Amino acid sequence: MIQYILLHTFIFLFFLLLLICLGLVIYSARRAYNATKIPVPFFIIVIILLVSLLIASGILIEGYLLLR
Amino acid sequence: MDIIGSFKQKKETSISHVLFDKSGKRLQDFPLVKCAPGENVFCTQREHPVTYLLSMLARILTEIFIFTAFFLVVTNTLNFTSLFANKQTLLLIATIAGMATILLIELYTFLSWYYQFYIVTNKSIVHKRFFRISGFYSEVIFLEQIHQQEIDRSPSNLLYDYLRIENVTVRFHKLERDEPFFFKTPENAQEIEDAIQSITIEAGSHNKV
Repeated sequence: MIQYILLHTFIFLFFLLLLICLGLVIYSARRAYNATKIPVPFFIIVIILLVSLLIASGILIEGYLLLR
Repeated sequence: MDIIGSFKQKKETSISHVLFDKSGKRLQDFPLVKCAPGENVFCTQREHPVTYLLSMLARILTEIFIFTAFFLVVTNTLNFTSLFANKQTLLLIATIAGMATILLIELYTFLSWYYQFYIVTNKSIVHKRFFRISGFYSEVIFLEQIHQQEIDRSPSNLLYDYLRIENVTVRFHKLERDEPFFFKTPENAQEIEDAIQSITIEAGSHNKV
């Protein structure tokens, strides 16, 4: 039981860390755009959305497994 | 036509700008440097896209290998499957975590490459990195007072030599700066060398007058 909680808490925190890193990447990209006025390519927006979706899925799945 | 006029007339030659930036403006028309009065941007380049693509490919293969090896070792030695409802759940979580990590790393490296520029103006050479977590990076060498310098172009390896991707190293005959200014695999090394040589020749002819 303890092993189960520890493992899933670790995985949950890993996904939270990915979310924080994604936030930092988006913040830095926005700052770079404001400084240069060069917009990011459209496929980067798509990749950011995809990564957000993956991280959100991971957080939801792990949250469900922890609360179960 | 003077040198500044010829560079103003020049069409966009940046490969990465043609591929990724659809704004219709030239890369050197964006406000990447604050020009002093009488200063004009000669050329603006990123690192060559091929170098980025090759490093990206190597990185993705390494990440996939490491992630797969880690997953197999951990699940076989620590018997993680008993801590999940079934093997499919374990595989799903591992796939989501792996893909998210790899995509995030590639996103970061692409944006680092995309917002890094080498800029040559008629008065200075600049290296700027706008995409950094810890703040912008900027290195500027003013060329007005420097008349003696060495410019070297050389490829890093055989593959880059075949693809004509070269580094440009500018060495100065100044005691205050020992280390050279290094353009790492720019899109067009010849253009950068020509621009710096033009500045040097122009500065030399002004001094003689």
